[in-house]
Amino acid sequence: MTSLVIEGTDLTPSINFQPEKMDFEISGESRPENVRKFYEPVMEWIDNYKLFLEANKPKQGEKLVFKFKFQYFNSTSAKFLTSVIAKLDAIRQDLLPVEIEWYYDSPDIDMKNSGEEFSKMFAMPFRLFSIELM
Amino acid sequence: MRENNVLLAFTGEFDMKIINALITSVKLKLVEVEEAARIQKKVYNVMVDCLETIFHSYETAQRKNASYNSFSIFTLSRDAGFYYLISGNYIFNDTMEARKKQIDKINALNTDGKKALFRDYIVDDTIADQDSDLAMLNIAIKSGNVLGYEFKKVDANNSFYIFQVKIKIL
Repeated sequence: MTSLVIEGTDLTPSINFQPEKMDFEISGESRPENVRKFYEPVMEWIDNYKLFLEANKPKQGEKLVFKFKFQYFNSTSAKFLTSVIAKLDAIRQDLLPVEIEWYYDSPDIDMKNSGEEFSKMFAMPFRLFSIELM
Repeated sequence: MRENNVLLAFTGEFDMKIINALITSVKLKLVEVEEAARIQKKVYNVMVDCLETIFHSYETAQRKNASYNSFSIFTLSRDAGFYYLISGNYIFNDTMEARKKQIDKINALNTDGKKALFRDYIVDDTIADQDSDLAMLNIAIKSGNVLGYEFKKVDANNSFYIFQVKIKIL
């Protein structure tokens, strides 16, 4: 399955999905002018990846690590992030363990709270990491 | 002596270029005037939501009526322990009541209530009227304070809507 790499801009996050390494990351700022247009290909890729996993059964002990490293995301992006996490949860329920790593700039209490809220929403453990992003 | 400092003021018509320029300006200004990185982040986060809300309101109103007056104002100031974000834009009178109800509903909730409503809104598209419901709620959660508003009637069809967010400097 091919990787998905989208370079970030001032308004849109970087997307770096590497299925060979089972390593997936979304990072940066998320306030695209058209949020749906930006996130639809991302969600489509995840849907295709789930189909890929179903066709190529994951090996014993394999896990998917998904990293979120946002400096900011707007409210509309939050809706699409919810959909992304819902898809990851479906993969977790049906196919293999999924670890979510939620990184936040250490002074950004709101970003930390967002990670905790998403974790609670899906009853899905998130590992939270405080780092110096700025 | 009371401290009173306007950090940013803009009047005119918003577009995405203006909004992005304001966001960049405020980011730099906050680094200059605010030592606490935590407050810089909070003010920045709330401000971006405020500016995007103005722009989306304007876009929606323009689609509804091409004669919509798109003049808007935005200020960021600091006074005696608080940051104040104030926005002003024209609003059609027939949407005023809905806006008032929206803000009053948010203000009546405690923090847990707001977070629960936010979760409901992002999971179910049909509950929130539009993206502004979500943004308004997000602003209320992040600011931790009651949202202020006022409507000044202009004519039979229009009022000027003033919206205020307060953030405590801890």
